[in-house]
Amino acid sequence: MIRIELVYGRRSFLGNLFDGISTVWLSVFLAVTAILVALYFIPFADLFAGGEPLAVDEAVQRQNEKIALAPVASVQENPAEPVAQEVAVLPPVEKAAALGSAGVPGRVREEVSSQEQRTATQLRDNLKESALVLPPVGGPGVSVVAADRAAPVASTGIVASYTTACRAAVKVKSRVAAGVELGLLSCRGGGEYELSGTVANSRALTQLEQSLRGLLLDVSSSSSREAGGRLYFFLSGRFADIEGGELATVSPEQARRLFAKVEHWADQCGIDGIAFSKPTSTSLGAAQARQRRRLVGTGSHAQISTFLDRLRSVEETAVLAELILNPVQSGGNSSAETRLSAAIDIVVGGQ
Amino acid sequence: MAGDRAWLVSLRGSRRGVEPLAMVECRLPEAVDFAVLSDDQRRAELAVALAEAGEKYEVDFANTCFALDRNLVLLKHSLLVPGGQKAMREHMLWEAEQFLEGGEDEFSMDCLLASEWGLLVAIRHSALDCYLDLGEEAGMGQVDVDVAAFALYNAGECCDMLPSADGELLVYRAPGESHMLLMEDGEPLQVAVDGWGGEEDADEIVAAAAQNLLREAEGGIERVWCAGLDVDEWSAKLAAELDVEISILDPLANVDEELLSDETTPSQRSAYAIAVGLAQRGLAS
Repeated sequence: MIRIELVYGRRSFLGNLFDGISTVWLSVFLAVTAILVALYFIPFADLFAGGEPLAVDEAVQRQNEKIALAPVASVQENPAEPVAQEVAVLPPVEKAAALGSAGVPGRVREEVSSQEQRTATQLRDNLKESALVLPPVGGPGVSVVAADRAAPVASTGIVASYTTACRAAVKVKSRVAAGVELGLLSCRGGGEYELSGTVANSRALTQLEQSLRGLLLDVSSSSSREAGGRLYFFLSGRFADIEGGELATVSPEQARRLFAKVEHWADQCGIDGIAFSKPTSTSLGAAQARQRRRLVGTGSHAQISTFLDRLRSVEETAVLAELILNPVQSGGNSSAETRLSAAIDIVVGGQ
Repeated sequence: MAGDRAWLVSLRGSRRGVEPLAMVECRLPEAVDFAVLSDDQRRAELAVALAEAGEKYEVDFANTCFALDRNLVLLKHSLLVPGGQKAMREHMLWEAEQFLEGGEDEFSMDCLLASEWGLLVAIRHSALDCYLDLGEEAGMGQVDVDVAAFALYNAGECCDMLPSADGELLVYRAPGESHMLLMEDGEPLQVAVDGWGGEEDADEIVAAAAQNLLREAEGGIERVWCAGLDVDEWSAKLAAELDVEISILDPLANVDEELLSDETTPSQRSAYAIAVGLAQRGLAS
């Protein structure tokens, strides 16, 4: 069974119960409860009747500790204790039999005709303005990035001209006309391109497709109408066939220096907010491994373009395996700034 | 929920296997999307409609799972880094933060780790809260959520139909949207979700999306499983486009026949495939 957990711990029974009560008050409440319970159980009669005070004190202390800790521990250990087990009362067995004999088990169609089945429309508001909807990262209205998929690992499999394919993303972006609100542009080393965003109408989308046909092969698109009247589009295409020799293998020390150089170039080119992930390594067999680091930052069209040009100078040893450009939105409008996310691969030997 | 309709399924596990207690297709006050879910008034109306349908047809809401709206969930495929599960998860979450501003403060995230790749699933906390609020307002007990495409697979797996081949594609089509899941060697490889408006050619959009996914399958696809409304009609067209063997995914294929009506066909039952998968998740928990 495919299982993901998104709700886990989000709202537990106790969370609902104490919703709106601050943690301070919750702590006070639990402490007072513990004290009251402790007072209830302390054998005061024995305490005042003489005997051995020291032994009684120890007993009370132990009991207090035990009682005071219990409720706190239960809250911490079971933050998402569900109540469903308590209320999950299934209908009686006779029901299933009754349903089975009455046609479809419990199936009731309410006023649904076949003509109506195609009339449902998606009333999608402007993606950019929504606080709920995720940034468009894939298909229409969605969400699927086939990132990293293109990097083959057989032999070394990494072709030195990957950077060339990704570098063309800047050209692709420059062909996007002013009326097109680009949400995301992604490219993989294999040359697969994906663009999504909104356009005023289907004519604008056709124009965009035509303008990209000079650069990309197999251009195809799909679209759906936004509530604001604009068309949300998802467009994919392929850069001309990628050819070239395999990436040269470098030593771990060379790889370290190359990555440092790449980071330095990004800084030199004026890219802001640079973050460079730690290297991840994938074995390619024969004592070789692919090391990947992802660089993110924000820059202008020119800055990113310059950075990619610099990268091209080392494409025999370090390639751009994936590039994602995400125009920065400010006040609902695209600014000149673009968020860049670049995966850089190096083949390392002697591993 | 898709468009202005909801498919409700209530299942029970017993010694006879899974027993369907209720399967209901009902109309909703309006087409459900994030705008409806985030608006208190409109969500309350939706909750009333669901509660009424549940009461009328005796649907058990004690443990309820919703399929997430296609616009609210993000799925990202990544190659995995070598190392333990913890390292893989950390890497995927780091990658996600490059796209999702706010990271874990803003998003609820989980990773599905296959042998060589992973799928990251993310949804905004605020969007997730809308489902929890909806469940609370409809008088539901425990509320959970799942990705529609995953529920589709779970429905097929629980009825012993999946996995059936090295490479297979699952397609579910509802009014205005489709959900697809590409499986390779029994592991989820890629998810695709598409939507269309009134005048657009849904057959064309679904076929194009399926073809895109087929290109992702390096080992090729041996079978396409189809489910949804009017599945006989559109799956035949899809078969012609893709030139791949097509089967109908009946989510109740392994249910005792005595519990099923003679009047329903596997094709009709396939419309409930996602709802059955969601209910199966509840049974497994």
